[in-house]
Formats: sequence, C-alpha cells, structure tokens
Amino acid sequence: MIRRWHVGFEVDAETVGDAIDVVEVGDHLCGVVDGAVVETVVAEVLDVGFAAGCRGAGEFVSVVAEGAIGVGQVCVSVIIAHAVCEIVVFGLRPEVFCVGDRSVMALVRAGNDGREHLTLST
Amino acid sequence: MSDISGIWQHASAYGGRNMTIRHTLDPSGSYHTEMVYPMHGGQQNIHHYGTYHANDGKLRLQFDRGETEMVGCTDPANNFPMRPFTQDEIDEAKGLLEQDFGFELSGDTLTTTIQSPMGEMKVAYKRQDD
Repeated sequence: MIRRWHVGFEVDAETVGDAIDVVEVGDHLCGVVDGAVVETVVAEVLDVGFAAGCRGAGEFVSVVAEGAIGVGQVCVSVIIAHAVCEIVVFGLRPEVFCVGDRSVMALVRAGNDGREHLTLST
Repeated sequence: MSDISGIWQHASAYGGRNMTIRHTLDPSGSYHTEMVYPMHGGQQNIHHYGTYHANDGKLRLQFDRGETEMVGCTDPANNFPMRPFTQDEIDEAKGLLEQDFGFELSGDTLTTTIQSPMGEMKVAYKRQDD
C-alpha cells in the first residue's frame, strides 16, 4: 500500500497477489471519516462499464455513491443520479458523498486473468 | 406556468454508457420519464411517473411511482421482468428528483440545471416529435 498526502488510496498491482481481497482504505476522503470499505466481490461479476469513462482520474467528476455491489446489479437510484446530474457513480448504498477532484478511482477488470488486475488510483 | 410540455430526449455517452432519457411532459401536468441504461450486454429500462410544475425558470417534480426491468443480458440470470420500485427505491428517487431544477427553453432545446455539491450541472434535452 502506497500512501500519499491527500490521497485516498492506491495499490500497486504488482505487489498484490490476489488484489480483490486486499482493498484497504488508506486515508479519509476529503474529510469523510470512516467511509465504508466496499465489500469484496469477485472480479468476474463486477460491471466495469463506468471505467471506460475513467481513462484519466481527472475525468472522474467527483460524486461517488459507494457500497457493496451485488451480482449483476446497479441500483435504480444510481442510474437516476446519473440521469439527473450526468454523474458517474458506483455502488448501491444510498449515501452519496463528495470527494475532491481526482480523489478516487477504482477499476477492476473483468475477465479470466486470475483476479490480479486491480487498480486503485487517485 | 411555463409551457415546456412535449417529449424531450437526452442521449448520453458519459462513462461509456449510451444512456437515453426521455421525458414526456403532458400539458395536464403529468410526466413520464423513460430511461434506457445499457448493462450486462442488455439494458435496464426505468420508468417514472408523476407530476411536474414549471414556472419562472424553476421546474419541480413530484415523483409518484416507478417501474424497472432488465432485458437482453448476456447472462439471462441478470434479466428480470418489469416490477414496481421498492419502497427504498421510491424514497431514493424522491430524494434525487424532488428538488428545484432550473430550466431554460431555447428553440427545441430544454436545458435543466441542478445545484450539486460540486457546482452547477446541466443536462440538455432535444424536443422530439410524437
């Protein structure tokens, strides 16, 4: 785990054997204390379509709904939020909190790659 | 009351999602929103029903009910037939939708504005024929 000043969290994928099981909060997200850690799930069932829009963290506009992602689900409210605000959001939990620009980005690539390709960036 | 009745459509590709939102605003004050959201090789369809009031550049929605379905997924197990929103989904939809939107009507473009914690965000809709 690499920590930076004002950095949410970052994982060096090369050092993580089974990345799915080692998601860890490295720091608070812009004042959000005790942010929930996303429940771990297997990579193959994560829907990563959002990631296509996250080519650079700078494109990631800053409102995140974080929560456990169920198999094959994206909650209705997330879609509505997307519709209302053109905001990219993750997860299912109703609490929506703000993070600073470039604060957090997570990408889990689906596929048969041994679940070793997890990238968390800031 | 400003007359913004009609069918308004917004197509978004943000985040790699080719999402379509279509609002049908009836002159009587009722509205129907249809959202098509690609997912798992298929799409989730969401419908909202309620009433609206538009006046002096402010748009206010009252969300009454919603329905959703998932169709055409690569893995059929992800599909589900049309079902009404759960109470949690209704509450969340109300929280997201029942707030003041700004709007601006210019020709065949309707632009709605919402104040978010990150600043002003706008969505533009094009008028559609019936």
